[in-house]
Amino acid sequence: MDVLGDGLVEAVRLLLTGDQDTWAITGLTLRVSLTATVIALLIGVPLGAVLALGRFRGRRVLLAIANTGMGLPPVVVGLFVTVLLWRSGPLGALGLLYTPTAMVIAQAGIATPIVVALTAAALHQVDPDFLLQMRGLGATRVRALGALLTEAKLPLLAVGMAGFGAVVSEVGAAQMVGGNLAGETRVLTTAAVLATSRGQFALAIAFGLVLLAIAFAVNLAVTFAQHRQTATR
Amino acid sequence: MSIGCRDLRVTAGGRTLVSVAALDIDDGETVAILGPNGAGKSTLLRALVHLTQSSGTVLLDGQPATTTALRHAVAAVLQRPVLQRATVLDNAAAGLRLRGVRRAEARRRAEPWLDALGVAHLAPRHARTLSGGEAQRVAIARALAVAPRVLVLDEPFSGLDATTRTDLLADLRAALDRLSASVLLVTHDRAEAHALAQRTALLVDGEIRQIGKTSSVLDEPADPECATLLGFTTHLPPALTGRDVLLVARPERCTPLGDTTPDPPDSLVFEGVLRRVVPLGGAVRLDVDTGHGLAASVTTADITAAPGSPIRLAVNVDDLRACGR
Amino acid sequence: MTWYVRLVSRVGRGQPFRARAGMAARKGTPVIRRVLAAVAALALAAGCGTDQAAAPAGKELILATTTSTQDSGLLDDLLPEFTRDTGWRVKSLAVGSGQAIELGRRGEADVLLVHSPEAEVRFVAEGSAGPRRLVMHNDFVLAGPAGDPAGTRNQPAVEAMRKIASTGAGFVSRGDESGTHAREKQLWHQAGVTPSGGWYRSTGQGMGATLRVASETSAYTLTDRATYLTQKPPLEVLNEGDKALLNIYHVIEMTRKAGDRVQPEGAKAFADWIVGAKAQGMIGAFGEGKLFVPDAGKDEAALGS
Repeated sequence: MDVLGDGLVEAVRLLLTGDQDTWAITGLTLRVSLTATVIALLIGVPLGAVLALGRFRGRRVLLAIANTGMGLPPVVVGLFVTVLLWRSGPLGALGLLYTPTAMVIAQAGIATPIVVALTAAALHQVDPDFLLQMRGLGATRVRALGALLTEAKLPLLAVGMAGFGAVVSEVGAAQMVGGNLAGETRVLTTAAVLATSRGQFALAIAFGLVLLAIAFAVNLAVTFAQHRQTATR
Repeated sequence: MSIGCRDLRVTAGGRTLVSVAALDIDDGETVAILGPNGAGKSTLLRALVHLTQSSGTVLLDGQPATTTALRHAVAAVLQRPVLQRATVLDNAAAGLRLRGVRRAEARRRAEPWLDALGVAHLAPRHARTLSGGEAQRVAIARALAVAPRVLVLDEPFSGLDATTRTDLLADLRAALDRLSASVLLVTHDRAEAHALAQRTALLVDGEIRQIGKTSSVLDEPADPECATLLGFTTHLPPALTGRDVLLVARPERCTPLGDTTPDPPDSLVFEGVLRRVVPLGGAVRLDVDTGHGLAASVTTADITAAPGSPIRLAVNVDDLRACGR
Repeated sequence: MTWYVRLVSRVGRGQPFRARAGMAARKGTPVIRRVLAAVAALALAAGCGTDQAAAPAGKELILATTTSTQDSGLLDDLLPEFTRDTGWRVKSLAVGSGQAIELGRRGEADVLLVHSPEAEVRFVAEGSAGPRRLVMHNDFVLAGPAGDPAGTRNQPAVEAMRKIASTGAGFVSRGDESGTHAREKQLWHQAGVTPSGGWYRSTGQGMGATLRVASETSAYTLTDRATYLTQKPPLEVLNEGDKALLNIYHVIEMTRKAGDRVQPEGAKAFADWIVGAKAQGMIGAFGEGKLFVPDAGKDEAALGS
């Protein structure tokens, strides 16, 4: 239990004393994971909408694929991105491996199936005649889709939270494509793993607590947004 | 603005759901599409305002209309009120918002329509808390608020109880009078057509069988199916009556005669075997096998005859309609 | 949000994605293009804004090494100095020895710092690697109760292990497939012993926990010297210095034979630097001089007792 207590003290100390490394790692974590989440939303919400609303062959198969993708181990995505970005790989010329960009790509890859599947599920909850009714009121296709997304905005917020939660807490892909380079690609999860293997358990727990605080802060913000919404009912 | 169509067809899986050679609704006119379930009424409505895939031409003021033009002109009310997760006022304003009107302005313009449909007091409530009738009133207010030049109503009253429906019909009629729109009302209820529409079209199997002034269409069925649709469910074929055309009558107009009662004047009298007596609450319906199909009589008279016994029915000639050749 | 600002300035310098993102934005009509452009821009945005700006473009090499060099913190000391001295920035990947060698073989790394001598020799014989030079070593020690009931002092390491087994004196293993555990199994193998029975316990935990269990039960255990020194358990170092207990690190330069993008000049710069006097001095002084022994220029065969 000493370790937990020390970890808590260490976490508070690191944050309060403005430990530059910790803040840099925290900043990078937020930057990478939030960017990856936004990208996953940009790609995944339209795809999820197509899967939820489209009427075409293979729709169910694609939905099943997306649902399976939700359980995709981050390490597998990390490995895939790594091989793609290898010097000898198809995108090797870009020189992106072991950069935050690579981490964003991998994490977006992890979050996108989650966003697709959960978006489809969220839109399924909306009345099936919703789009028809919006068009029947004179909405253009784009406006009708916008109204649909607005209608589903609470579940869609949850989708974003799920995506962010998945990527901010994963370590496999971040380690593999980022390389855990000090000051460059070290994020809270990989830093915690490193601290653990260095035997600095208190520091590791401190990083873990910072991670927890971030996840909590983000969720709190979103939950408050949701409540503001429901309060105006 | 008038709306119409030429050669409008909707097919699905190789089956023709709707095929309408021509339908025209004049500016300011209300036309009812009356038909049984599955006749393609909703499909016709959706095709006419390009809410579903179709072939053929839709005309606005006599000119072929694009989907965009239709979006500008039309507002639709569906059978089930689909409301947004928002207040009643914001729902009423939604149509205007979808057309690019700013929020405050949209609310300001929507409010009188909530009043017109008797739901102004619900304005701050959340849409989820409304009853079915209230929700449909909001949906209608939402459609009227955009000041559509064409209004299409897809069985807007079907989910409502009788009292609610009567009140809403009256409110809607008044509201439509404030608005000079051409209105298409899809319904399976003659009373709704009667209350709202100047003209009525009968749709059977995706085709318009009959169209004309509502009062005459409702009273003059052109063929046996239309007759059934309009309530003339007692069909008396030539073999029974000796006439050269099919005669039809409403069961309410078929009177059972006592054994000793003489034939009334100016009436068609026919015999059959009573098959069963169906209580309708107050009145009863007698199903009578004439040997040439089933005839029905709805009556409040005391019936002593038991099923299986012969019975005579009389219909005044004024209540008989000739149907087909 | 400053990183978005930096993005703009960095993108302006001609990052690879720039042309694509620009094109997509200009053709612009389909929504999907805009989304793709936004995605590319965002990915880049997150990628930029680190302190990469300090290093001249292109002078960046990839070092594949073992977790021990990173976990000990040695690299954190060495690499910034190397960058200052040569201008080469280093991306160091701390992986297993096997993976490090594989990365070299595929040309995904420019230089290797590893400690698997047999595998290294075989790898160098394949021909894609360049010079291989001795850098340093650290070691494992056999720790146990001061009384040394099995009589392991001053024995060859393998013999010491055999004695522990034959006397049943008690041994605590990490049993976690770590490098230490692997070395322990290797020693048992060389001693011809299959450890099992009441005297042999496996914790399945880290070195610290294993040391605690060993000291509480007055048993022997194999530990790396660094952890022994930091944990200061009430156990004595009874056996050390045998070559079988050493981790010998070599630096291996990769060549273009391994891959087109390998940078032999960077590899040579790193290898030359780490066997140089300055780096060797830093290695010797690291961790109060007790963790690593600089060995550059020595005869490998002469290492150990």
